[in-house]
Amino acid sequence: MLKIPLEMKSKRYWYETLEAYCYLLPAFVILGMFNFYPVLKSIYMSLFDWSLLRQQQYFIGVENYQRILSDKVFHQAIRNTVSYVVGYVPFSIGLALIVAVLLNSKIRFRGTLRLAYFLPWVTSSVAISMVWRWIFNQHYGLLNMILANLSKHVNSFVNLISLGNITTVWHFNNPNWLMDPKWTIINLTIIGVWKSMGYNVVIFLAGLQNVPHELYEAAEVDGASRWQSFWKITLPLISPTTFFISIISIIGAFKLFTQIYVLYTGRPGPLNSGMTIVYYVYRKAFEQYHMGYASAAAYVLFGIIFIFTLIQMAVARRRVHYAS
Amino acid sequence: MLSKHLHWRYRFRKHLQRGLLYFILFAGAAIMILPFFWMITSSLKAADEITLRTIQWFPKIPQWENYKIAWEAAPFGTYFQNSFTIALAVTFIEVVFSSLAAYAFANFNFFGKNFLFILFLGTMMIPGEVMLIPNYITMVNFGWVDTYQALIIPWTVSVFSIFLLRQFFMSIPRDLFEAALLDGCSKFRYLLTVLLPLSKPALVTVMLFKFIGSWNSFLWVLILTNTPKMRTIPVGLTYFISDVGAYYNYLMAASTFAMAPILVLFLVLQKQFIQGIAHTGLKG
Amino acid sequence: MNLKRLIVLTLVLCVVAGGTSFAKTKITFWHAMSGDLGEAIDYLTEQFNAENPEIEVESIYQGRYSDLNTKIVASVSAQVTPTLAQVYENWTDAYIRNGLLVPMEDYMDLTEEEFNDYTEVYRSMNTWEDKLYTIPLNKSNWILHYNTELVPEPPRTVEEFLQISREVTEKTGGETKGFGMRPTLELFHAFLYLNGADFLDDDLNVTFNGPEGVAALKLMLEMIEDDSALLIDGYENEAFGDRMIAMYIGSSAGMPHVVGSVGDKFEFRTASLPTGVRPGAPFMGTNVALFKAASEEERKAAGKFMRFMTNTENTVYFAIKTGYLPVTYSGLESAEYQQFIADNPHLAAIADEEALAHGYWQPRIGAWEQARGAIYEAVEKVFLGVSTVQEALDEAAFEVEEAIEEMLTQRY
Repeated sequence: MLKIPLEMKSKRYWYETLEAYCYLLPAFVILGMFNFYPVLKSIYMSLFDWSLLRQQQYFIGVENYQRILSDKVFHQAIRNTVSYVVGYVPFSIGLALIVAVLLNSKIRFRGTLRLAYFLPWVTSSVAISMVWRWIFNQHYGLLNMILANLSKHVNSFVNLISLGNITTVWHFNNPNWLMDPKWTIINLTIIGVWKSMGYNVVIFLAGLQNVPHELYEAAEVDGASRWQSFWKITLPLISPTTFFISIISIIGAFKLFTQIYVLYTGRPGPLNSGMTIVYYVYRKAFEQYHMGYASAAAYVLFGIIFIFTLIQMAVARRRVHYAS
Repeated sequence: MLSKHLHWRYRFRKHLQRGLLYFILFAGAAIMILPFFWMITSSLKAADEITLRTIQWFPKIPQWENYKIAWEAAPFGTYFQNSFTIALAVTFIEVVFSSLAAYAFANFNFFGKNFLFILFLGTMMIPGEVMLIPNYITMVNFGWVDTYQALIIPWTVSVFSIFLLRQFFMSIPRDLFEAALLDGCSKFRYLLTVLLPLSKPALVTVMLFKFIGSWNSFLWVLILTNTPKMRTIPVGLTYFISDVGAYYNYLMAASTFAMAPILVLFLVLQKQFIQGIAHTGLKG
Repeated sequence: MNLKRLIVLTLVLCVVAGGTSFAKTKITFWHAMSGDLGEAIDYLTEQFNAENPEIEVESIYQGRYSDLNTKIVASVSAQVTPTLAQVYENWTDAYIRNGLLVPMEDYMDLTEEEFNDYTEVYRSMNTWEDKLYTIPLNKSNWILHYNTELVPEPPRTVEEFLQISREVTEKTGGETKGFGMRPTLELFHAFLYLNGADFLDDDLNVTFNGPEGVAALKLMLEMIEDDSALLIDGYENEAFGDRMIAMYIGSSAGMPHVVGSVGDKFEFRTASLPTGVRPGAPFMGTNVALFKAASEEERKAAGKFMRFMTNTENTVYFAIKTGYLPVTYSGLESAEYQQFIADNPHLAAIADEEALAHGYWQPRIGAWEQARGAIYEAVEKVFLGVSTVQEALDEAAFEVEEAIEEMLTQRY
């Protein structure tokens, strides 16, 4: 960023500032009322032993923060949340980018395919989480049925080519996806990627429209392969979109809650394996009425996301190319 | 001739690539659709055919009356009307406010720009759960409980949209902006006549996102309304699940008709996503 | 739209002008009942409003219980509580501790006879400070559901229960397991109680980590290990309907779902839980609470409304329509209800009067939501084999004690 020297902050600069503020005004007023104000209010609450059922609240300074940072359930929530973010974000963005690029090329059934990838995003999350509960069910779920069949075929195939020397390479042990804590984050990642696919593909597709065809044509004339054009043209030119998606995805992933609540029917997964920071916040606020404590937890989350975002922005400063 | 042979190999490779491409796309699409497909077929099943050890993909006899029962289980007619009203209002107001703000962030140099942008972005990092109660109290103080404005106004700005539009506005060459200003075009006219038309895919995307978000929003609507005549579709969907069991078939039926309008919207809009700068002949 | 509004407005004006000269007392009732339950509530509300022109009750569906809870909490913060709300006992306790409620009994003018007509179990569940603070509305019990093809006679004792479970698995070659088990707090509670203990004693001391609790969890675990029970996720009625299990213990409130999943595949019946060292029948469901913010007049109207909702005729109407239990002895014994049970033999266990004599329930304390989480986790730990039964229960006991301590000191 170019720092503007003080003497250059001319009349014109201040005029432009005034203009910009006019454009920002409606957004600022609404955000002010419904975001900035509650944020300030809850920062204030986070310094109190603030019960939602009481009229009288007690100031306790930073005690809430101290207690949160020493709560082992909160540590678990941080670990779970971070492992979800780390697993979900790259998959979600990578797959969406591949699909969007493919869907943007001249292929048949483009409309149908686009619709297919878009569908998961619009389905009601309550209904679809019931469907996922069925898919993951140990006894009558689709996933185990497919895996059982697959393992049978793999084993007989291996058996065949090894002339009977190897009988089983894949011991299918009927995993209990929903009751075994080791699968919780993986289940959530699968659902998350599935659900966000349409969303990310649509944004990428919009971004890809900003890449002029002429560039590809010129590259083709120069003998560049498709792969090369992808790296040299597509990726740099859609970097603003990628930057946007990665910021949004990370923020969204850190706030994971609803999916757990519905998939595990109002519990944070077996052995708290699906306890995320926002779940923790929800539980403290609405199940235990400790709003001050919950607010403090929310600000710890805010701090974590904020740091991640600043790092991304610093990286983006070098990597993202806007139109020159 | 050598080249003929090469040509054949080239075409073979090309066909193989194509085939692989289609395979990946269709396999992926199948996985995407599967849960959805299950939802539709379940919506037509009798209650005793839904969760069985041996998968039954289709109902023995399609129970079309599930849709009728589901529709009558809650005042869905009213809910649809409200959902449409609210989603449309939110979407249109929001796209205006967001375009204005995004324009400022993308094309202006002003005091506190980075600070404000990060401040805006920061609001996305706070979980809505802690803002719910203060916002509810604000609404009560405004006397807005059970009104459309309570369901519309707070959602007319989204940082998501501002951010997305800013990204798009920034990828439109700045030369264009400067040239337009030199030609005596006002900044507002530039936004209206150049920037927005060029950003159609982004605008459509933003609107679609907002519409879907509003269509599916639940908790806020529930907290802010006390009469069925103010409520929206997601509230109706809760009718089918309880702590002790679920009416799967009705839930699936209701979810199917609940998402139908969005699908229609998507089909109508989808051509818009792929019309943009690439077709205007504008060079980067 | 505008025309419609105009008509409505005119109608309202007509009613106001031509109708009553005194102002109506308006009260609101927030609940979490949809479907048949919601219809029953709406119907009864309408009846009440018609019979009492001076009162207008508005019954409002507020989502599922978790949503209702959020909504009540929000309304407390904004000081716009409803007049009446459907509540669980642990919510009630938390609200009373924060001075948010007034005892409903004070506004109902119950004669001694009427008071005693409320089933004793429900009276105990709704009494705080020696007063009937809340009024039972939709009560259910946990009962044994069994497939009569595989289990012709229900088990009467825990020994019989274990034996039948084993036999079913053997008889069907494992195709159908005897019992369906979800590692839940409720099931643990059932076996704990049958063993002669409970979660807490009367002075709120933790008692579930004693030998009875350990034995209860071990019994559950053994049933899985010797294959007489199937560990299931998802609602039990699904596995039951597909003949994966021959018996399960679950809430009578889930009856419509059981009937749905079973269809006409086989016959099923219900029975009270088998007897261990003592008999026991777990009762659940919600009650109606009256908020302090209501004016004297509103409180009286609310009392009248609750009298109406739980009078013999209406509690029977509600029970028949929804599958919940009548909340009074007179309702339970009424000819209409007895006929209904006779016509629906699969409901026999819910009207078992003997069960009412040894009913029990989950602790009615504000800290229960928090305590529940800890106990739930202990049960899960045992089933996943990550810690021994004693260790898991001791750890949970410690956390529950902490939660109770926090609640009693009102600070944390």
